[in-house]
Amino acid sequence: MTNAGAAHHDAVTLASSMPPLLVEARQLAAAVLSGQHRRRRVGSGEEFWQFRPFVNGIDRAGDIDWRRSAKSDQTYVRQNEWTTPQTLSLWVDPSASMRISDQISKTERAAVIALALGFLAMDAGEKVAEIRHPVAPGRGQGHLVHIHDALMRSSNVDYLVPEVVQFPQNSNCLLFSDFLGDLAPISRLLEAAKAARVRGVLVQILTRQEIEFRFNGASLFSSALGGVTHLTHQAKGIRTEYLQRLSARRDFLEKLAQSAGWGVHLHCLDDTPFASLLALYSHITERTFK
Amino acid sequence: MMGITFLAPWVLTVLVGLPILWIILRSVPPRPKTHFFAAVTLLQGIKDRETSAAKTPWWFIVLRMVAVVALIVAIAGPRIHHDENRAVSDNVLIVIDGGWASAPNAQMARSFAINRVRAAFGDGRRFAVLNIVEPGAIVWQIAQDVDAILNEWQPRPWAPNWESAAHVVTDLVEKQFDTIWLSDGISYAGARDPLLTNFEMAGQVSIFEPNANLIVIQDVSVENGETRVRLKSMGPTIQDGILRLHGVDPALKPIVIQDFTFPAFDGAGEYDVTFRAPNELMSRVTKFEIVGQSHIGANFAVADQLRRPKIAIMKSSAGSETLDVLDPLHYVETAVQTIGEVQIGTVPEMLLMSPDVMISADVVGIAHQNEVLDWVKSGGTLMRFAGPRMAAAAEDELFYDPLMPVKLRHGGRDLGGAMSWDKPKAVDEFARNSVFAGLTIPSDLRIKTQVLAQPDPDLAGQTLSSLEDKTPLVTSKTIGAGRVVLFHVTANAEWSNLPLSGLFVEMLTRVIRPNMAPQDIALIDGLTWTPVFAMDAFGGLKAVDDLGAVSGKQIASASIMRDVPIGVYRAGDYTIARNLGSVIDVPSPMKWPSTVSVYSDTDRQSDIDLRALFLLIGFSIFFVDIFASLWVSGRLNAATMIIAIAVLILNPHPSKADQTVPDEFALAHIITGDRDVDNLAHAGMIGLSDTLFQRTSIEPSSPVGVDLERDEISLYSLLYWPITTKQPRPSVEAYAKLNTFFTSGGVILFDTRDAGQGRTSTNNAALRELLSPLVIPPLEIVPDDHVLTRAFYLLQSFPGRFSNGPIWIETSTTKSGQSDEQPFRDLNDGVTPVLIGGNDWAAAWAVDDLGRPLVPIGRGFAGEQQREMARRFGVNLVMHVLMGNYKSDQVHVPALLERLGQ
Repeated sequence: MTNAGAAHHDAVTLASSMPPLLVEARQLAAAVLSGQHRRRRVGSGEEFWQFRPFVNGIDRAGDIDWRRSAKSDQTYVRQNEWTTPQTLSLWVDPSASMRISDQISKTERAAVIALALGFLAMDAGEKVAEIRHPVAPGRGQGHLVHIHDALMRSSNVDYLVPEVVQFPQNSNCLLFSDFLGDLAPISRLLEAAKAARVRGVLVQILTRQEIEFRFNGASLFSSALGGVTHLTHQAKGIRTEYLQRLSARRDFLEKLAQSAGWGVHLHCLDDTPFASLLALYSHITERTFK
Repeated sequence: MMGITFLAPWVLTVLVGLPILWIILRSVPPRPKTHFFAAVTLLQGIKDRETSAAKTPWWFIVLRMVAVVALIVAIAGPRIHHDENRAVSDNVLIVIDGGWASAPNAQMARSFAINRVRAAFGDGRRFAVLNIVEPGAIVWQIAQDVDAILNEWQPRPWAPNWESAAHVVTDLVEKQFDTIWLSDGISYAGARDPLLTNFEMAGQVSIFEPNANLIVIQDVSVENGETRVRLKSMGPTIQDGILRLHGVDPALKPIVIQDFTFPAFDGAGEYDVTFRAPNELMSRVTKFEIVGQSHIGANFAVADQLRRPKIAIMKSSAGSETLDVLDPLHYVETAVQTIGEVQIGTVPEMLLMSPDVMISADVVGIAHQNEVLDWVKSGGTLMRFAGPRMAAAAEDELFYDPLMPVKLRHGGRDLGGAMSWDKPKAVDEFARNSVFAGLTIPSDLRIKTQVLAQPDPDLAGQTLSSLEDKTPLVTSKTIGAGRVVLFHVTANAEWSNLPLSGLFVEMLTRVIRPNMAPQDIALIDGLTWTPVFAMDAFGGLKAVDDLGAVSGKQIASASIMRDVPIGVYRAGDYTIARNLGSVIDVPSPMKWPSTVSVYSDTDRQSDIDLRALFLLIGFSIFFVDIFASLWVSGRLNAATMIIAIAVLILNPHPSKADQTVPDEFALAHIITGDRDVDNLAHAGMIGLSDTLFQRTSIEPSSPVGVDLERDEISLYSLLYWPITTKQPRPSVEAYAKLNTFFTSGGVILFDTRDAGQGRTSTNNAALRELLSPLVIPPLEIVPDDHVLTRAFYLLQSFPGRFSNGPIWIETSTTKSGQSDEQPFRDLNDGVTPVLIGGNDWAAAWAVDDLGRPLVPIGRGFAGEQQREMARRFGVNLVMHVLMGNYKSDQVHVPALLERLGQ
């Protein structure tokens, strides 16, 4: 086999090992980018800082800026500004309730949006991290594959109680969940974020049925693993009460977020992810890039 | 009298349990539907306002109860029956003739008996079966067991065994029983009488007597090309009959050769059915059958009787340059072609194929004389013709020739020649015992020259035909099983005008097959015969190999037993058929005494089984119950129920609904019916869709396979049509659809998938065949400047799996001037309605589930390069189809020129 043939073979293997969600996320991200004007790259860590005289033994010869040095008798070294890039921290609720699915599950949708934002962040020179398992901030497609795996890792609990985690410094945070479990841990999480000066968005993913509750007849409602059940003989009859409870919960969530300076975004699983992605993207960039 | 009885009455006791079922059904509400619902946490503690659905509605329970009752009753086996045949005695003997004549009415006889046995289910009567064709010990059993026996009973292809049956019956003398006798309708010359006497003494006798009108084929003979089938009928028939000739085709596969109808018979007696069929067909007949009779008598197996004889002609001396019409064998050869299979060759060659007849003309000493003599002794017929050489050689060489029937005088004689006083002689009338008896002699037949036989006491006996002065014309001598026949004239028209007359053919026929059907009885008797085919009771010939050999005498005897079946036997090279018609006399119908009651039908007023009715009721209610329970549990609203029922009941075109209609642009391929081709085409469409998705703004949805007959094609812009010879020709409607598709802007890419094979390819022919009814515009090979070369990529060629095949498209308008009459020009923005090529593009585009190429293309890098070019062609094609001539616009010329480096 020729070299080109081998390279092609490698490329095909690599492409086929890329998780389908990641591919979907990339296409989604590409759609956002093409809709925006390209900004000048903020060259974090590449910004010119200063010229400094060359010190033998400390500086490497390769660092000498010959153009500057030619202007005088002295030899100068070019130094760039040392900046820490922003980090996009991602967290997807691993609860079993997120995996109830007809076609696409909440977990998958959350991962697609999260990874698409990851692509966009990387495109802007930022790093991407996962905070549950955690995956340290990093860049590159390979890194995103790790993040993807971490995001998709599931737990065996109906409604997970999130622990307080260490937020990476200087980061923007996105928490994806349906926020249907206990909200107290969320509140603790947000307090920790507030203390760490981390801002972010709570992304609530609900299905159309969860938003509208169009059930009818005798029904047994069950959580994903059957841990919580509710039996009703006429589902239609409890609709109003359910909707009231839902909106109360959403109001509470909103309040929690505001107190920590976070935002709340509702995504309906039956809609396309594109609108939510755009909203989240602009939400993040507002704060990061201005 | 009528009544309802149950086969298993005890099952009805289960009905006692119904009230319990009522309570259970009442307290168990319909099962709720389970929803996996993440927001169930929000539902905790919400109270139902209404709890009415907790109990099952009463009508619902009633519905189910009725269904259960119906099923229980059905299991108990209810039946209405008429009691008119209730017999007096507690024991019933069922007597079955069971022989060959039972076969046509076996089913009716069986039903007759079974109806009566089933009526006795559960009433304690005992039954026994006596099958006369193979009588066994009488065993009294309960009705259910006898029912099973009767169900398994089959008629046998033998005659009833009256002696053994009489033995068995003598054991029953003391017993009282009723008798049901399933007769086959034949009298058997009083053989039934002793049995009947016994049965009448024991109790009532009911007879099932079918309206049997058996027709037996007695004999088949062929004379002068006419086949005569002799039938014997037991009585008049109602409608025309059909005589069917079974046989084999030239490849020896069994077929029906021909059917002949014969008029209805107006009474008992013998009837001849005669017909003419080509010799070739008759020689392949294996069996004659009277359709609808289905017993062994109405089937007549044929062994060798109709076989065309093998005729061998000794090659005349090589190098003779005579004209065909002077060839000594020309007339013989032509004449015997109609009689049998003719072979021409040297003596050893001919002996190898063991012919029936050998013919030699004017040969003095036959080569391999001893072998030929052995062959004659074993049954061959040697036919010789005289001639100048024989005349010259007579007395010297021929004197001791064993292969001459008579001794000849030297020189022969001339009649009516220049040196002769005599006139040419006419032929004397054939003697009555001659093999030629009955043939008409043409008045102008004259013999000019002949060879003469030496006077001999036996000469008269050996003469088959003579001239008017009693000198022999044809003589014959029997040697062993065969004979030698000498024509005292030449085989051509030199010595006589006999070969020119029709008589010549008839005479040869008589000599070659003197008598077809009856064979030498003595010969049959002397051999041991092995059955190779035996007839089953219904007349079907089955190969057998487990039966022992029998003697010739047994074959000729009238007994039809298991060991000597009706069928085909073989001994050495001989094959003979043993047919019922040739061994027994025609049966006469049975006349029963008036003391017994005779039924001729299956007793229509028999029991009516109600099981099916109750089962139907039960299951229909359960069917209704399915919808009812869905409705009660709120999973079904009235509208969907009506629709579901309507769909179930009407369901007018079940296949029409399954076309998946894409809601976005999709590539499509025609389903050809060849699985491999279709799968590859589909994979190719997926590959091209992926390529388009990745590289262009065209994002096709999943490709679709299109069935021309069923699916709507107007939804697609581009159809890929792989050509295969296996594809059935589309219907007229499909062609109409295609023509509309073309004229309304659709594009079809025809792919013969065989570039390089050129005009000789079969796919090419298939394409031409397929396209003929379509309105195809004039075509040309894609010109270099066609927009297809630059619709997206800049391309020079359009490879697929092959790279060298050209693509044909519609001739471009610019070249041929203004558009005229042509429906396509300018109609579709310059997009060609058809592309025809053979590069097997689908193979190059095809990818598997993981997006990897499916078919290897070329070798190594060059191959991948070709695949890439194929993909680019695909992109260009779809661009061209969707964008039209957009890229031909002059606006793009500067950019294109720049990129082309011009």
